[in-house]
Amino acid sequence: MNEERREFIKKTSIGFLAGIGVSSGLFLNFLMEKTDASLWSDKTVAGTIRWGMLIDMRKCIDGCQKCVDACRLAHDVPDFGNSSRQIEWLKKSPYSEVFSTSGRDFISTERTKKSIPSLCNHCADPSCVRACPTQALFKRFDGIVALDYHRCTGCRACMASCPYDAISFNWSDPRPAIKTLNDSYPTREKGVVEKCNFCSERLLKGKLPACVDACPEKTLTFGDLNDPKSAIRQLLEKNQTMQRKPELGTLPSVFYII
Amino acid sequence: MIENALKGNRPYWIWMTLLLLLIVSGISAYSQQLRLGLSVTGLGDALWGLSIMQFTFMASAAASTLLVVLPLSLHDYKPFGKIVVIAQFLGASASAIALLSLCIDMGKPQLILDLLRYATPYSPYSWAFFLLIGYFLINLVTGWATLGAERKGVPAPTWILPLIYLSIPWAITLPVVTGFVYASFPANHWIASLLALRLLASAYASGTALLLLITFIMKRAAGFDVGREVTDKLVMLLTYAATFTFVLVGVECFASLCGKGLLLQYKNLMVSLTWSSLLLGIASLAVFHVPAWKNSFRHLTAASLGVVLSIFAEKGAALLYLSKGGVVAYTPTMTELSMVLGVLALGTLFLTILLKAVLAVKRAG
Amino acid sequence: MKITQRDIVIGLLVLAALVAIGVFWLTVKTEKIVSPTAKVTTIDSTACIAPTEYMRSHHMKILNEWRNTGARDRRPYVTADGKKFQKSLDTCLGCHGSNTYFCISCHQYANAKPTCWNCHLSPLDKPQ
Repeated sequence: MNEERREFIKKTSIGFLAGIGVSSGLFLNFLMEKTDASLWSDKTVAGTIRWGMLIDMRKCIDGCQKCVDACRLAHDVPDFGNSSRQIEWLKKSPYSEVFSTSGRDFISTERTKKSIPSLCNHCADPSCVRACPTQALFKRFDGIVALDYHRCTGCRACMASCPYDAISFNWSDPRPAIKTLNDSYPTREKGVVEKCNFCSERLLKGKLPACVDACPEKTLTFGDLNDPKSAIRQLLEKNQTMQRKPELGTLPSVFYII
Repeated sequence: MIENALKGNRPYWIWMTLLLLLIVSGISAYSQQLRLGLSVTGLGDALWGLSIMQFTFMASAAASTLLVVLPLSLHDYKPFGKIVVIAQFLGASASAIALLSLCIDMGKPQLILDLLRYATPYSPYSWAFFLLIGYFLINLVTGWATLGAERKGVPAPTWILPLIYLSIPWAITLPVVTGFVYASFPANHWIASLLALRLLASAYASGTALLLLITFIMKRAAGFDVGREVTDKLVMLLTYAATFTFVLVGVECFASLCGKGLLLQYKNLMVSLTWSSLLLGIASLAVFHVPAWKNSFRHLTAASLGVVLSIFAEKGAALLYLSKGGVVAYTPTMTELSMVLGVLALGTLFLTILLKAVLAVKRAG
Repeated sequence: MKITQRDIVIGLLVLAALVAIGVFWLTVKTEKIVSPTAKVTTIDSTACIAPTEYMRSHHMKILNEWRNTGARDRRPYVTADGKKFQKSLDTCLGCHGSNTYFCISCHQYANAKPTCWNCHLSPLDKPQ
């Protein structure tokens, strides 16, 4: 019996392995074709898009809220005032908040007195996407970290995992809090999170993001980080820039010149 | 067996009425939340609050079933056969409370099944949800099958054995994964590995303390005695687990003090909560070590309660410290409190009904 | 317990099934990388995506599918006769939005309460 069994196991295993071999030969594209090494690399890849933004604080005017207002109007972002339940896609906050882990000793007041625009960083390795239990947050083909509101269960795991405080939760019905209703974009409902989408609905029509268009000083530069000839790459080439909390390894796509 | 829940003396009905009242108030509070959104809670700056605290505590306490199942099934420690069903039902009820606590914290609970439909291996939250459902089913099914066999006076069916073996790694994974929900916060540079371990240790301490309390209550209220040996063994396990837990909490406090960590930065709330949790825990632990008190029913009850409360407080401290990478002041509202208590009462009601069936079988046998 | 030949066969079958499921899962899960130059169709509301009769009875089915896949799947919806449409409620509202009561008149009669208008602005919400 023992001999027989051994023989049997041997033969069936060989048959099984052969089966796998044959099937992988027959259905090549099953396992082989879809593997793209570039998916595991954070280097720039020609032919794919990674949208990014550069914020040049040398040009930004303190007290100007044009980008913030344009964003609110473009996406029907509700305004709950200055409460802890405020919803923001784009906001201006002091240096100590935006770059909370950067050193603040003896740096020029020129740097710290201005409030700096901050938004979702559309990270190349986004922690919110990993934390989301329903895959409502996902990374798009063009580097945008997108949010499918239909699928959001409102568990707030993404907010807890975002180091940039870029995601807001609708603690109550947002509609009454919308100042001016823009009928070309849907609102959200109570119980879902929301965040900046890099104006993907405007990109679709070939327009720049609303905040970029609204800025009178051309503070914001938007472009493809994977294209060496794009304006944003040229600026990155020539200037010393900063990312928010680079030590966390999320690879933000939003850069700052302070 | 379940019909025994409809029979009982006066204190039993008072207890049931109390639970039902809490459930009704919980439901009314929850309907308010469904109407107005999570704005009825005290959250805002704090992302997660009381209900997630209860989820963490109960998800880990549920895992303590392991401390009874493992000696019985792997080491053949027979005396635990007497309480294994109780431990399994406690595990099932605690998982149910944890699941419901997650549910009342969700912004859109109508999408709860999407958590299974679109589950992803990268999300600890997704894992926790899946593991809790599994743990609930495993414990309920095996417990019920064992009890049914006991009633008929036959050995437990063999098909539950694989389930029981499965429940052992499951019980180890549950608190670890629950810990990972918070450990993978950016404030911790993605991984605070001690947290999962702390949760694992505290799981066995708090769960065993709850089990000990339940056996005491059953002895007092129904005259069902698990016996000296089982109690002593449980106290021993509890002592080990609690010692380990409070050493870990102490390590955390020490590290925070040395590294100028958050405990120092947010003096008022954090320090008081963590230190009082630690002191209460150590005080309770001392009771288990004093020979004269070790045999006193009163002292043991008080000490077990102390361990449970201390670990619950420590969960809160861990949570407030972790969410959003800082500490924020957070006061739960009455609505929130009613919801959380309602969920707790619902789970307790479920456990009471199950234990009533256990008592009927044990008395007949 | 003795391991018989039957057990081994069953075990191997289970293994084969698991591998098959794994292969299937991989193929289904791996999204095909579409080159960025591939244009996404813009909103086109010139014609209805299906005959009126079919839409009357099945619009909820199509809309639900669009709802579940529209945000992440960039491929347009292809009708039976080969026309392509963007999976968006705006594709429908491009035409039907002109009649303010198009959706609500029927839904109210049938007491259907779709969740669409929790977020999307219904023709009733839009300023005329």
